[in-house]
Amino acid sequence: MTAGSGAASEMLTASTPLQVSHASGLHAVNRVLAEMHREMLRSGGIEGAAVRLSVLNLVAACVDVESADMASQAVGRLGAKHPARAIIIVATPDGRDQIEADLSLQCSATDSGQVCAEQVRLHVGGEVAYHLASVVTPLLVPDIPVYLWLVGAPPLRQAFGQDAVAISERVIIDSGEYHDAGTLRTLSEELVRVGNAIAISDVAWERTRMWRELIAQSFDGEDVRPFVHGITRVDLECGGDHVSAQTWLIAGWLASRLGWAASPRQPEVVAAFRATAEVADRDLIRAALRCHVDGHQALVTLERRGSALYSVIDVDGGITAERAVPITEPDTVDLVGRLLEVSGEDPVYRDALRSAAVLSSAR
Amino acid sequence: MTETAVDEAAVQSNPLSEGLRQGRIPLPCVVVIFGATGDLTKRKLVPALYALAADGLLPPGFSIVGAGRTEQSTEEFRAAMREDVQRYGRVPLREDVWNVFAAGLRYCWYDLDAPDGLHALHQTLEELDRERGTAGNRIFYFSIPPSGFAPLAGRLGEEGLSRAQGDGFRRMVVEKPFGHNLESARDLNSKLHMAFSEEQIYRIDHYLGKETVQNLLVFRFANGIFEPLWNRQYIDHVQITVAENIGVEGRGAYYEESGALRDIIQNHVMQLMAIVGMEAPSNFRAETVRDEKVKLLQAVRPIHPDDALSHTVRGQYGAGWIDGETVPGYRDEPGVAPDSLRETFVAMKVDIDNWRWAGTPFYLRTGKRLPKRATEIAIQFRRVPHSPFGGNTPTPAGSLPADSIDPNLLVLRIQPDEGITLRFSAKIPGQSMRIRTVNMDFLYGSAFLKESPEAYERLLLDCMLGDTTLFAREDEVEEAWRFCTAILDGWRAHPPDPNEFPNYEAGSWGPQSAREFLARDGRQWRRL
Repeated sequence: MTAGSGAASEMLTASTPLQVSHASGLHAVNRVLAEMHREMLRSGGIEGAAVRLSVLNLVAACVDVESADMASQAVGRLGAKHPARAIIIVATPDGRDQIEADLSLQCSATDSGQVCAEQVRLHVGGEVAYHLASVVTPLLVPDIPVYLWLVGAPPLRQAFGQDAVAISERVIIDSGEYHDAGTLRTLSEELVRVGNAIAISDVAWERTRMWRELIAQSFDGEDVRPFVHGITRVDLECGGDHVSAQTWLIAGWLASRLGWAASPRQPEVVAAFRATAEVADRDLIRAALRCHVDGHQALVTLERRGSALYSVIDVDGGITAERAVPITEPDTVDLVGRLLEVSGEDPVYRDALRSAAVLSSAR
Repeated sequence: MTETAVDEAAVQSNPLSEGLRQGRIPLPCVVVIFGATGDLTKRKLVPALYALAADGLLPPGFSIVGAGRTEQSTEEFRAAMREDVQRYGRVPLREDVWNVFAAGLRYCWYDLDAPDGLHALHQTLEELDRERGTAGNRIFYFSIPPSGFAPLAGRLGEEGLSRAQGDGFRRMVVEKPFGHNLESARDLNSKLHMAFSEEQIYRIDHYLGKETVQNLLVFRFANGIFEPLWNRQYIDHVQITVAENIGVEGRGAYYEESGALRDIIQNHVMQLMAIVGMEAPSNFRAETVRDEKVKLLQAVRPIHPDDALSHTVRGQYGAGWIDGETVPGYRDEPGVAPDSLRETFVAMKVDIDNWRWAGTPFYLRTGKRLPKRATEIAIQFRRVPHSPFGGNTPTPAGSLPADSIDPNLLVLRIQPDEGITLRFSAKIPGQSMRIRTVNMDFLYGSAFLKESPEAYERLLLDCMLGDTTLFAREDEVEEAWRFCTAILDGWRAHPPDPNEFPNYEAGSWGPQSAREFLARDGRQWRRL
């Protein structure tokens, strides 16, 4: 397997488990991993240069076995681009006392040979499941960042608990996984509570990137730029059976960047959804921004048609610019991969989330 | 619906761009390509612009006017460009993207000899401003023979096309060669300046658009561990090699005028040398970076024409074998004189007279029909001053004097297989003290698993954005010419004996004299 070219080149490649093993108890895990590496080199079991790299620790906290299976596959795909020590945890506080580990070496083909990274899948049961930091910390590779990926939709209050802050620099969450309308408000409150102790990346926010870029670029032209402060109505439509988190995040982003909260006349925001086979649930289908400035009007429309996103700018009834940009279809794993490249805080997201929480609650 | 009163100051910025990686996309503009039916337009320019469109990096309303002396319709031009994008493009053609991209494509006939020879272009540009909101923003790309640069620039100036109106911009892009010696380069610059100011002129050296060349700046100035070693105290010498396995590829007539020194050394290699040798800029603004490059070029010790032969080696390839096939000698190429004395290989030693590099030479070499295509910069560190593993101390392996231990080598590969290799010594496992050099490789492509944009994509986008960092400034070009012109003068005064050429076989690493040249300094060329 080699990285593809062209549009597919950013997609992450799958990898194959080279060796698998099992260990009971934490002390056994590092010993077994070292043995696996020695065995790999001794047997020459892979072609080309085998390189063991770790650029980060990725801890995937999973709500159940099913999401752990998904995380396990994802970590394999991510390994080529983000060689990591991956620790996948399924915690069952109500289960029997146990720390069982399944270990594997995941190797991904690159142009220069195979890059191998470790995966430790931990099944933690009983009282110790309430103290996961104590289980994870001894397994972390020192001096490289720790990313905590919350797989599925774990309870938010618990997700941002002490353990998360203790072990990780960044938490990756997908607010789109939650169907509860109050999710964005809870998430916003949690972020205020943890303050600067931890950075957050939201997969749903990353899903909106292309839309945000094209909306922003629509107002770059000299003739359209004045209208960015004259938006009077925003229509957003997404696929599925409810207005998705990312739809509210787009609305919140516009509101926060353009300072609508302080404005005496706040633009009308209309968010809608419709079930359609054309797009995945929660993905945006259309965004229309109506603007009025000094007797002139503009309509900026972005619409998904097939696999391209069309943007049309209409000023005073005449189309001034039209674009078609291919839509890249990153799945959750690709998006998580992108978020692993992020460092530092994203203040634009925090502002957007705060505004999105207000807008979604007012609905 | 309510109408909003807008603060004039607030509309100057677009707050939605904050925090977006692609926030800086250019303003709507028109790229006018003179020489629209030429090879560069087909193979590089339009495919690069299409790739930018497919990546969503072009502004709404972006337009291209192909200007040529061949009569053809816009429809014919679009059809030809579509074919070229399919044939030469980095990204596959998509109907939806192409249709919108093609709507901004126009073709215009022009003739500089006719009084109204730019009339159609004028009209088309005004039409695009009205219909597509390009707001008077224009880039004039001179994809034409160098002899046409000055007349075209002059005419654009006379017609008022070079002067920006309002907030719009007017820029021109020229391809190398920027002159054929110092005098002609100065003459060209002064003629271009009659119509365009220096800030409006973008001199393209496509090497600077390569990811790995840009990474050189990051490698040097974003890593604290290398810079303390990056000087005469730790570096023995630097080798820069631009090796081509191809011949003149049908450009014999051009090459007869140009030769390896003008074609490769004066621009690409001198630019690479400037980036490797320059001081750290205080910021990454275009002028600051270019100021540092100029300072380095100004510190290059001139070679007096009388010393040209002792400081350089010339070569010309004869017939030979490359990639398992026979290839003809240079003099047998079409368009080349049978008794040509034009150099297809150059090697030289460059001394840099400044605090950092005094006594640490840069060896440059380039050639055609060498065994393989490779552009590399090799930083050869000094040997360890003393080997504790040998000398008077008996070891199980016997004596290991310092000069038996290979010095560290840092290789920056520009193409192909872009990446960085560090060579260092390691002990071979076992009871005895045996040392072997090992390479630690960083492969650019496989580290990021992301296809790099073509150099032209990067440079065209930078030009639209008004970023001149990766373009050569007037004084950079002139400093490089100052150095090369003295060598050319020396060579002209001392032409090679006609029987001396060809002096290397195609498929070899150049003439024997090149090896002897380095051997005189107690060094040798790397085997790539």
